[in-house]
Amino acid sequence: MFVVRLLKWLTGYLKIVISGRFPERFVNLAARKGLNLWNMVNENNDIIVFAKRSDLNELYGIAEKTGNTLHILREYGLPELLGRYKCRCGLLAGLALSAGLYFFMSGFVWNITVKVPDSINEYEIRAVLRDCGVYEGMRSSSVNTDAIVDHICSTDSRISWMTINISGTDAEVCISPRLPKPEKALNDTQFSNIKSIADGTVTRVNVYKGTANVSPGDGIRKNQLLVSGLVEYNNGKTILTDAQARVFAKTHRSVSITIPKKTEKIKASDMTIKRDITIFGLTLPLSLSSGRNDSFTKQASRKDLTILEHRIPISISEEMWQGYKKEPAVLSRPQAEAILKNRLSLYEFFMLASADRARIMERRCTVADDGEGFTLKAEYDIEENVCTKTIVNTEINAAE
Amino acid sequence: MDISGNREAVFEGNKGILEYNDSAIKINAGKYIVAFSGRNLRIRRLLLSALVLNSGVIRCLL
Repeated sequence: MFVVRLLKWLTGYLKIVISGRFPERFVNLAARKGLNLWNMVNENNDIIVFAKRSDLNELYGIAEKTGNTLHILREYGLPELLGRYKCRCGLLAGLALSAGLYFFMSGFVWNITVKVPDSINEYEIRAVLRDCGVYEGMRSSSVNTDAIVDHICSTDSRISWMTINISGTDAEVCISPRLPKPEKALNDTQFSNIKSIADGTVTRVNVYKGTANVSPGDGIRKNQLLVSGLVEYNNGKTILTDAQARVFAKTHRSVSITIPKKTEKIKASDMTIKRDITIFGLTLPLSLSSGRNDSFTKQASRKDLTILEHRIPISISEEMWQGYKKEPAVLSRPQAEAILKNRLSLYEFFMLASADRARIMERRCTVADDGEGFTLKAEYDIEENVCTKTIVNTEINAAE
Repeated sequence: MDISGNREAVFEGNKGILEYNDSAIKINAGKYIVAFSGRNLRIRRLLLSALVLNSGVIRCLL
């Protein structure tokens, strides 16, 4: 039924009214000639009927022959539509142009979404993709995504898996990070002892597996055996095991930090803001400012325009170039102490982070002025886990 | 002649419409004259020898 209606619309049809003394005669003659008439109704002795546009001339002839008059009430279909807009060539040209433009633009990628983990910078990946030929405005048929994925995965060691999915004018890049190899766990066939990593005095001993060789209050030296993997039972049986323990000891550390009196002070100077607009892959500057040659920090941001939560190929990028100037300065003692305190805090942070379950028991600090600069000397008493595991080579034992 | 309920009738052997208004139609069927009466009679389709009638209520008289 739809096809019939479509054909009628394409060829055009008319709503006509036949008036006269015997409109039935008109209808009979038209039917005898094989003309197609439908939806005929009688209104006030006039017949209103639908007929094909191509039959109009014959219908006029029949009306003349039967002494009836024929009026067209309304025209329907494509010929009528084209006739109505015949004088509006610009409209038709615009329609054709927009349709052509639509099909032409559909062959390009206008929207690239990059999904990266926190450990990888999105802008860095976008730059790499651009170098490989994946950018907004590329022809979707011209890109070999498999080759690009292979190239990026082989050159960037942080990426373990990557995919580029092109769907219509959208491209989605998904990246999965490479995870570090897990540490090889000791199995039951490996045996170990626990030794000390520093000199100090034992404060606490927690042995989970093995035989403790030290007790709280003992003095220990670096590489001294703390817990043995050899376990002797009361019945005289001896076994080797994977020793597990935590031995805490009070250790001593010292640090010396020196800063010169004459130094350079970094001050923020003027800021330059550079804005660009990217439309369909074409980047146009919105400001006349260019980059800087002096010391600077650059902060870049990009805003993608969206309509109904769908990104359109228009984006505005902004770069803020903050300049810095170095000025000579002489540090006073309070200023130097503040700087040294900050550096010492950093030292303590990294020292505690590198040690296992460490805590500072006592800290002694002195700041000295030696004429050229200020020196901070700090002495620490730390309680930390001093254990390190050493594997016992059983193959040698077996050979012996 | 096929009549579906009292709404639609398909008539074959039409040799010409003798009279047609919104409440009655008389059709020349050769030896007979067939008349249909109803309300708002509509000829949905008219072919060389057949026609399809639509109406609110159709009655047929031979």
